[in-house]
Amino acid sequence: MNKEPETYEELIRKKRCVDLTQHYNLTKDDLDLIYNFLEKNPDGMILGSTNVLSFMVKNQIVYSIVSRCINSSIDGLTLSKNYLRLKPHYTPSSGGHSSGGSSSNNNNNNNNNNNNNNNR
Amino acid sequence: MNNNYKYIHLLYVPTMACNMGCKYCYLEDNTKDEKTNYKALDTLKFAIEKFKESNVIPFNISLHGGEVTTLSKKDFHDLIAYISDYYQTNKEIITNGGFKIGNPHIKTNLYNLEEHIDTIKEYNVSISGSLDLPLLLHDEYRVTKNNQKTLTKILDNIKLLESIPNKKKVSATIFKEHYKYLDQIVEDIKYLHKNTCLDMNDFNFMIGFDYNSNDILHHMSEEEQVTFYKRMHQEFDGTDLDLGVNGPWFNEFGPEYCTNCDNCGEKFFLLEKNGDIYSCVRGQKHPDYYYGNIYKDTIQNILDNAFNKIFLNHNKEPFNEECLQCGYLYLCKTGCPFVKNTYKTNKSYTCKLQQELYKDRNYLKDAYNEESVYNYMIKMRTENSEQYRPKVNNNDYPMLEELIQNDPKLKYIYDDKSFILKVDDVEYPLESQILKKGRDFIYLTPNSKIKIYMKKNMIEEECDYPLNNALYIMLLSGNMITYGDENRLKQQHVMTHQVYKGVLDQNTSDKEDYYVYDLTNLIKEYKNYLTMDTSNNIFFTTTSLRDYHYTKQKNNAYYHIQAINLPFQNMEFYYIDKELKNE
Repeated sequence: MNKEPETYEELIRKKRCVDLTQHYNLTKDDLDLIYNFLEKNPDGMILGSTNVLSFMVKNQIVYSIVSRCINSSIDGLTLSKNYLRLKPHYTPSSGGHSSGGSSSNNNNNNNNNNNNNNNR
Repeated sequence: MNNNYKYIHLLYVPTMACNMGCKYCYLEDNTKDEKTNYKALDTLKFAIEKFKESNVIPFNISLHGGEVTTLSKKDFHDLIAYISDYYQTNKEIITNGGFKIGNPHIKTNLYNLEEHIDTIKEYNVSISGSLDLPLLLHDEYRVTKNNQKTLTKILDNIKLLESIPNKKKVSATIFKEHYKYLDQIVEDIKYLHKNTCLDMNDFNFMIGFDYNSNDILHHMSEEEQVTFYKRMHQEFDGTDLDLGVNGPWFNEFGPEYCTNCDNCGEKFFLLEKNGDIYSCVRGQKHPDYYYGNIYKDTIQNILDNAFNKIFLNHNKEPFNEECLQCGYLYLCKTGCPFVKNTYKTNKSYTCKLQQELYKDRNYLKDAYNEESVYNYMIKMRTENSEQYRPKVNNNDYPMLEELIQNDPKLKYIYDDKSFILKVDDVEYPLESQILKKGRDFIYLTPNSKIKIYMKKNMIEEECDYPLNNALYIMLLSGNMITYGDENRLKQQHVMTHQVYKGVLDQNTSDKEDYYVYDLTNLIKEYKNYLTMDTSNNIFFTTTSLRDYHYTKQKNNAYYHIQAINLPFQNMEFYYIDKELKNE
């Protein structure tokens, strides 16, 4: 992504990647990865959720990177060769629920570790 | 809670060696100690210190195998002593995180327990042992590597725990082969409760799933799981094991466990002596659940890999639409990704049993199910979350959709099939700015070929004299300025352009039933008034529909409130104007 764009296609791709940094915490390596992915996959799509960017090809996830959404006005986004779509934040009417269990069952059939001596 | 710390559950495997040769063991030939330069204690110490440097605190450290009791007396003692000391040293940090301080905990087959009984007493080690129920199957499946029976020795070892106050429990995994002996399972539970030091209230069942069991064991159907669960209640409700059957026995299927996390990679880690980190015993040795190596990778990389891999594993199968309606997604979170991918399914393999348990334990169906589903989708799924966004009207007046439905004349102001913007070879069907669930942005350059297509009927909608009607185009820049008496901050208007029917009729359209108008030059003409670093906006309607919108606003206060921003079909865009070498 470092090289100077020579075509509008390259320039737009670069601008899309830079625009992503308004919404997600991204390193330079992440941006290179995204730029290269979009370059190599004309049908590829980056799907941003609250804490992951998924690299999609034909609706299948092929890769993902952990990245926190820093724009509180959105819940996610979609970035493709053709457009950027921001998904506005939904303000819930309820308090929401926890992200779930803190105890490990680690049941691998006969080999479990059902340790609940330190539960919250 | 101290938000500076991230709390994790750490399972440590100090040895892969095992002294037994259970016929269905999922580790198969891996139950021997692996060659590594690292000592068991050194790796755990190194990991704990490295985690702590990154503010990652194990609130629980459990030892697992292989079989931990195959360690030498000294190694076992030193490990337990270290963990005990760790809890004491970090007591404040752990309790500040909302967790209880426990004792060192081991998972064991109980076969060599007598060798370490002094350490177990000294540190009040919490013990979780494995048995097969019914016990007659224990001696059939859980044998030594020389195929010797193990039950008698294990029951003798349980007797050794009698005089010590530590927490001691056993668990049993139920497959179809065990399920066939329901009566015997009931009797054996009673036997263990009455004749050993085990309080069988603190016991738990697991439901087996087919994975590397050498085709010896087969999973129960979901209906059989429910029958099993109900039979246990039938036998033990109201008895001295009431507490167990309504608590720990089936707690694994409640919401407190790792299988019911949004993303278990945020909390659960298994560390091997060689420094490798996996999700848990299920994912151990599986590349899809390998998070890195504590000696080679940074903690941040390991944490990121953990979150990432579990996210990927949850998304290998599409979201199950049944989970939308169930009402318990807020508790279940669709189950363990490892099992789902083993079975190539997309919901928990104990779904029906969980639903029974939720009902029995008075977990209510989610009053905010739509919101829980949406929150789950935006965090954990790659499906388009917009389709799961709840429709909520927080106001006391009608929603815009309702107002449109009640006034057919509004239809085409909001219609999503009437305008198509074409940029180069890509078509963008346009939606009303205030009805669409997301904001779309495209990128235009001086080289872009831009056309707008409008359905031909639009020129006649809400219009008595179509010849006087026109395609109405509004261009707004990204500059924000304060308008009007109300001092509202709005995008700056750049131009309004009307193209009358007579002109549209003369343009040859390549799309049947649509007028076409080329915007390329129009956009170029105003490019100096567009913003380069913020998005611009272009709207389309007809003169008559625009008039009707403002008439409706004047006549209907609810409509005015709901459609206070420009309602017309639009597209936001960045304009990039730069000289390039190859353009």
